[in-house]
Amino acid sequence: MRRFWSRRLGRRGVAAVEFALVMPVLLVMFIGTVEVLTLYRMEAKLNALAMNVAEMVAVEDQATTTGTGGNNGITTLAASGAAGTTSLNDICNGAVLGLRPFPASGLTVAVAGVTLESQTASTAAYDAWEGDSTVSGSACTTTAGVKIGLVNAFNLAAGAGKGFTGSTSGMIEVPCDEAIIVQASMTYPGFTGIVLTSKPTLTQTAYVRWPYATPKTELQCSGCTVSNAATQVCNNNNSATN
Amino acid sequence: MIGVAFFVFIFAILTVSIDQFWQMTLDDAVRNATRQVQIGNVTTGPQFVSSICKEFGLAAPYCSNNLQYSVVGGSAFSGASGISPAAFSASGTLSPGNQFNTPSLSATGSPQFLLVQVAYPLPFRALAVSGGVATENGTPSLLSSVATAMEP
Repeated sequence: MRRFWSRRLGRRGVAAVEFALVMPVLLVMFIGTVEVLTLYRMEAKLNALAMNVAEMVAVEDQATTTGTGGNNGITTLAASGAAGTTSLNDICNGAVLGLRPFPASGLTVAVAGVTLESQTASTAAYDAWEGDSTVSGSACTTTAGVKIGLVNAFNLAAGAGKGFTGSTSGMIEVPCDEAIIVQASMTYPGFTGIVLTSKPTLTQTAYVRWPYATPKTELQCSGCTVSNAATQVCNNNNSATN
Repeated sequence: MIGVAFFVFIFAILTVSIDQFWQMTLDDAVRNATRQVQIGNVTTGPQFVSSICKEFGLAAPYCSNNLQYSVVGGSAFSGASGISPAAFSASGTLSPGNQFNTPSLSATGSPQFLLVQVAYPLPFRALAVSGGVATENGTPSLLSSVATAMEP
C-alpha cells in the first residue's frame, strides 16, 4: 500500500515539475506572439494613416488667389485654422480618429509640399513648405515644420535621393508638378517589456502628387516653414525664377 | 489539476491568436471597403456590409448579422458641422450604429473627408477573454477605423 501511494505521488510530482519547467517558455511564447502581432498591426495602421493623410492633403483645392504675373494662382491650406475649416491640424485630428483603437498620444505627422518652378542643366528652382503635427492625448498641435526638412523634401520629390544632379525625375519632372510627402511616426509602447525590451519607433512615409497642378496653380501652406517666396511663379515655358 | 491549468493556458493562446487573426482580417477588409466608398462604388449601408463580409466573412462567422458600422462624410473633422465620430461603448457597440451618411465626392473648392468605423462583436463570449484583453481595446468587440478623403 505504501509503495502504491509513494509511486502515485512520485508521478504527480514529476508532472508538476515538468509543468513548472515548460510554463515559463509557454508564457514567453504567448506574450511574444501578442507583442509581435500588435507591433505588426500598428505598423500597418501607421502605413495606412500616412497614405490617408497624403490623400486628404491632395484633395485640397480651395479658391485660388492671384500670384505674380497675373495668371498664376495659389491654393492656400492653413497649418491651423478655425474649428470647422480644413487645415493641416484638422486633417491630423481626422487621422487620430482613423488610428483607433490604438491610442494616438505621441504620434507625429509631418507634411511637406514641393513644387518645381523651373530647372536647367545645373539648377532647379522650387517652392517647398512643411507643417508638423504632434499628438498629445488625442488632440493635435500643428506648427511650422522641420522634421522632413525642405531640402530633403525636394530631394525625395525629385527622385535625386542624394542631392540635385541637374535633372529632376520622380514625382516632379516639369514646372508646376507638385509632390506631397507625409511622414508619420510613433513609438510602440509595448505591453510588458518582457519580450520587446526596447520601444521601437515606427515610421511610415507616403508620396502623392497634387492632382490639381497646372502651369498656373500651386498648393501652399500658411503658417508652415516655407522655402523661397510664397508666390506662384512657375510657367509652362520653364523660365521661372524665384 | 495540472492538466486543467495546462489546457486553460493553451486555450488562452488559441483565443488570442484567433482574435488577432480576425482583427487583422477586419482591418484589411475595412480598408478595401473604404476604398470602394472613396471612389463612389459603394453608396449604401448594405453594399458596405457586403463589401466587408466578402473578405472578412470568410474568416469570421455571422459577419452580416453582427457587423456594426458608421460611415460619415463632411468638409472637416472639427467644429459643429464637422464629422461626428460614433461613440464606442464599453460593451463594444457603436452609437449611433449602422449609419451610412452617403458622402459626396470631392469637388473643386470643396474637399470631402470620410470617417469609417466598424465594430464586430465576437460571436462567442469565451473568445473575448476577461476585460477584452484579446481584443486589445477593453471591450468584447473588434474595432477598425479609417479616416481618409473622398476622391474628386
